[in-house]
Amino acid sequence: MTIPYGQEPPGYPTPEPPAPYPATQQWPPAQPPATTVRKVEERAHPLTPLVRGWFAVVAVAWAMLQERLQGRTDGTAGLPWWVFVAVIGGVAALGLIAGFISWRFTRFIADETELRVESGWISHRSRRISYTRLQSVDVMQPLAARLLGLAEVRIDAGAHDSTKLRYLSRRRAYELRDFLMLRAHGAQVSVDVARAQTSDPIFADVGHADRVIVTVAPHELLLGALVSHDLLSLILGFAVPVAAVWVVASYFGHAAAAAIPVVALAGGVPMLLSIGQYFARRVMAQFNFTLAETGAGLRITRGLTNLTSQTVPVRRIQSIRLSQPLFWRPLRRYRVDLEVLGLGEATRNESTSKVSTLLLPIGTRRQVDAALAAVWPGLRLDAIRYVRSPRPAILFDPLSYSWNSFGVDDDVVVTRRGWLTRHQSIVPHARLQSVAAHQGPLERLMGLANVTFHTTGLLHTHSVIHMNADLARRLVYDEADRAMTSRDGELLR
Amino acid sequence: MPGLFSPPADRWIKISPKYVVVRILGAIIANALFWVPVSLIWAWVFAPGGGALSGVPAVAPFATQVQWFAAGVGIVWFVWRVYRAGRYARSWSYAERGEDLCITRGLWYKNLTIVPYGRLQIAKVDAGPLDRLLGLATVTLVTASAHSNASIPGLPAAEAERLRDRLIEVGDTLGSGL
Repeated sequence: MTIPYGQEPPGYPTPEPPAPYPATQQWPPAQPPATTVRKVEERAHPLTPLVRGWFAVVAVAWAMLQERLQGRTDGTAGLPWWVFVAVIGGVAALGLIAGFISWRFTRFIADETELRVESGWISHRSRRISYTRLQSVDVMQPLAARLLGLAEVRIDAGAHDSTKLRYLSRRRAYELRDFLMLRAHGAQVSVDVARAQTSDPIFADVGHADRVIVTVAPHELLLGALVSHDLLSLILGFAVPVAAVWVVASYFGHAAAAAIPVVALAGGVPMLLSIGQYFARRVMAQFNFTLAETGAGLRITRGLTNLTSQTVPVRRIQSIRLSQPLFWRPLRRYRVDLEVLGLGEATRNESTSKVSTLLLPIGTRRQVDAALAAVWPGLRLDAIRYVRSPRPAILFDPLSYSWNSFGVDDDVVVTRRGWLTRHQSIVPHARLQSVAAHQGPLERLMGLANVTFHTTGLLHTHSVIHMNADLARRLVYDEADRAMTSRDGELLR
Repeated sequence: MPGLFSPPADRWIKISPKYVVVRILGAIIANALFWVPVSLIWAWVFAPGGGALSGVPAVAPFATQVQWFAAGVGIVWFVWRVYRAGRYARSWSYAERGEDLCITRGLWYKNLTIVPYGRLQIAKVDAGPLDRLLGLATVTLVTASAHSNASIPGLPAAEAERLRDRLIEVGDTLGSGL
């Protein structure tokens, strides 16, 4: 059954087209008619089914090839080669048909006030996203799509799952992204107007008017991966059990002791492979990391094979966290994460091309300052005086006592904690959702208390631990007051 | 110098004393519906003579001891919970302070949460079957943060509705977007 373009399947009530703005006549004539937004109605790119079917084909082909190479005697071994080709071809055909149907019945419509995504063959589904609710718009280009010049647009509007438009041509995806971000900022433009501002690069996503703030060189990424806790735990996870068995076996003079170094060497090869994979994934995911300031917000572009491009309106940023793992301290390198409402699927893992909370994977103090200045130009981090916990708190945190502290100025509250990885959270008062103090029995004996600041995001470390209880009381009440009176206008200036 | 959990204004407003009954009944029901059947099944499975595993003594050599120990811990915990229910219920209190709501709770682990009215997104009133039996309700304040966790149980139903309406009214006038 094919349905003419623009018509609904029979039996489905045709939705009323959104009423045109009745206010247009009342508006002052200063509003030129040229700004009326032209409604745009489109399908995804016709090559979409190919990309979506691609993964199924590769998976099946790989599984069969493995089976073949391992020379399994059961089941498939006796079959002639054309059976495999037929199966792979069948899967590919099924994938293509399913992809085609889904493509055929998916449309997106951009009109005056909202973006609609209509999809579904058997059960119809319509998602509406008001431009004023947009939190961030990302363009993702997995390798298969990238080779065909396609891209996925991912729209976050504060809900826990994002709306995905896949796939559009790369240029169209950038245009749509720029259009959405302009609309999110209240500009009355149509999709075609956004075109003029969009460039079409393959390895980056930087327009002519964009200002690049920070780029991270590959050797910096390698350095960060080399001295990370992840790598250390990878090595220790292998070396410690082997060493333990070897020590125990040789202590008891067991015959196996002599064999263990050989076994360890044999195990070392996959070990080295996984270390190599770890480096490769991390560097590939963050390759050419670029933080740029665009008219529509901050843009983060990264990736070697999969190109990821996130755009975040600055005023949607809820908090920022600086982290410094133990071994980064002598190198004076930092990692910066940001919290945005609606990045429900965002990950903190730096080894994937998925949408992440990263604002800077690794950077020197100067780069961190540049990134912070791009987010909150009014932030005066150096001028903040930090208050440490009283002396008895050292019993609770012998290793992080000297770091645990907090500082407050007119715009933000800054908290520091952690010993293996030192964290420093910056929360604007205007972004605080609620504040809590808590105290256990031992802390009560010593006159200590903890204070936690709740924000909308994924990072849960905005807390001051084991601080003076009287000070904690003052801090929570003052912070609640500041949350109500403070506006982030000054911070953004 | 007021203590960490002293009232912000002149006094805390306590929740209804009837909340003790909810706590105690809740503990009894949880035990009756879950832990008692679990213990009985455990006792049947590991019974020393003629149980389900009577033929395989090596499966759980200390099954009987473990069983009595677990039962003892469970009973002590239950009695302790019932004994402390009154004080726990009295530890819950709240206060409206200018432009925010303060909630405090807890005996060993004390907690004080402050939610500015402007951050309020939803104010909910819930009442479970036990609550309804006693004419109580729970008011929950939902902000954009998943960690705020601000709710006041054991409010008289009328007071709960008054509080909810007031919260929504104040939240509307003070509301700030995200």
